[in-house]
Amino acid sequence: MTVALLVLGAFLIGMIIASSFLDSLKKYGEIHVYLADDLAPQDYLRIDDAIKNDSDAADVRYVSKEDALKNFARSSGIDIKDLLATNPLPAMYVVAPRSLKSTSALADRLGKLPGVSDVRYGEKFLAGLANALRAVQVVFALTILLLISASFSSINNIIRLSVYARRREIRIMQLVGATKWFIRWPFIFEGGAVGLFGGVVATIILVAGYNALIKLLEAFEVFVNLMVTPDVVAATVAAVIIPLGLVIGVVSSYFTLNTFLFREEQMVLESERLKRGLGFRD
Amino acid sequence: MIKFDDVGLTYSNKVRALRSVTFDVAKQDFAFLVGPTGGGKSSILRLIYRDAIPTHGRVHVFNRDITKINSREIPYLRRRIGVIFQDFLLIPTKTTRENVAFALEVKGASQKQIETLVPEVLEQVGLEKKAKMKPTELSGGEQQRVCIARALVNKPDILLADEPTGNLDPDTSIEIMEIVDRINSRGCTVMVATHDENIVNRFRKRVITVVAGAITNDTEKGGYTN
Repeated sequence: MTVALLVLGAFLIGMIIASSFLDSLKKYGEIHVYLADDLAPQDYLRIDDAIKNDSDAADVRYVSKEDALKNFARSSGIDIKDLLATNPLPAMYVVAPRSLKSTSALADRLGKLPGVSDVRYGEKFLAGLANALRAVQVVFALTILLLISASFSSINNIIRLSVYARRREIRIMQLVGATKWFIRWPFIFEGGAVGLFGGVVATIILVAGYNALIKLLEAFEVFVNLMVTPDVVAATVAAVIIPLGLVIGVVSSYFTLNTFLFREEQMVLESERLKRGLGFRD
Repeated sequence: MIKFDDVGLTYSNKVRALRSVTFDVAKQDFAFLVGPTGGGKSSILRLIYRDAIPTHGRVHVFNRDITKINSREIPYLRRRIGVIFQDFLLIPTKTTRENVAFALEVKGASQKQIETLVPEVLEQVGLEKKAKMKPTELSGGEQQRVCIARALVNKPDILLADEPTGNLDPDTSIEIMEIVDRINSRGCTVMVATHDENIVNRFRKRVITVVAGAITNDTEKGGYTN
């Protein structure tokens, strides 16, 4: 059970990293809308309205010529003012599309606005990478489902063994007049406890493992930047794996035990079948 | 108290355990079910505590057709019926006291009730000094007394015993049956399935003979017949 939850948690962390990476790609999906120089004030207003009112534009940020110069100097370490008399960098809008799918159409529309000199975005790169990451997410999701069913199976076996070991006690309980729930609850409690324990242990191992991995990868700055912070991973894994372990333990125990407790219903069905087969009537 | 009306029982492996059994047992009656092994004695008892369902016919217990009751009502039926088995069916990890208290715990008795009733019933069967011992530390006769105590602690209206002396020596068998007889004299209806001739002949109670799934004889104050 713990192993299944451990592997499930590892895949969950993989999904979190993949989703985070996908989120981070959104900035590469930003559209840069460059404005022509010497636009009249009403042209600025018209372009501003058009961009901000476009339904596919989730976030719009204006970068003036001066800000563009400062950003360039910060990222490159070169101050153009030292080299050129005038600022060659145009003013621009940085537009974040609502989704990667709508990026291309949005860019086309913005490019056609009067006063817009150029529109740039990483079209092909984004499309390919997004598809690849979605495929990875689907694989992760399917694997997680398989692991959940493996966890059910694991608890099922544990409870079956427990029920088998205590079958005499269960039989006595039935004979002295115990209700089904009186018989059931200790096993459900046991299954829940096993699941909860498995979830807690798996979470501790996963969080410790992830922290160790981050430290190991710190030398490779690029990779570390793509990883999710340990706090987020710890909180997400704990919030998913521990309750999942508990739920799997309880649900699996309930259904496993029913095999023994449904004996009465099976007897009734068997009796009805025999009556029909032997031609008896009441 | 107990009424069988044209009851037949065929198990899923097509073995016909009972053919057409009709009899009734009045309140406070004591009846032996005798006959050869495989004759249907145990099947009759199983039908009474609803551990089997008849293939045809009706079984009435406490004036109720128990073939028609809901599965949720079965535990409540069984709390009014005490059952004793040949192989004792005690929980080996529990002490004598705990085994007897178990029957009260399942019906939600309070700790106070348990502490009152358990010693009382252990005294009735002569095991008050063995309350803390485990089944493996008791003799066969003592284990059977624990079973009787467990069956009695809920003050049942009916006591069923399936070969209660099957694993016991003759003298211990008599002791056990004397306890059962005392239980009957206090108002409990008793049915004992046995093929122990000595017991049946000694106690001279009603004898219902079951052979090959049918009742062949039903005698008040009878003896064992093959």
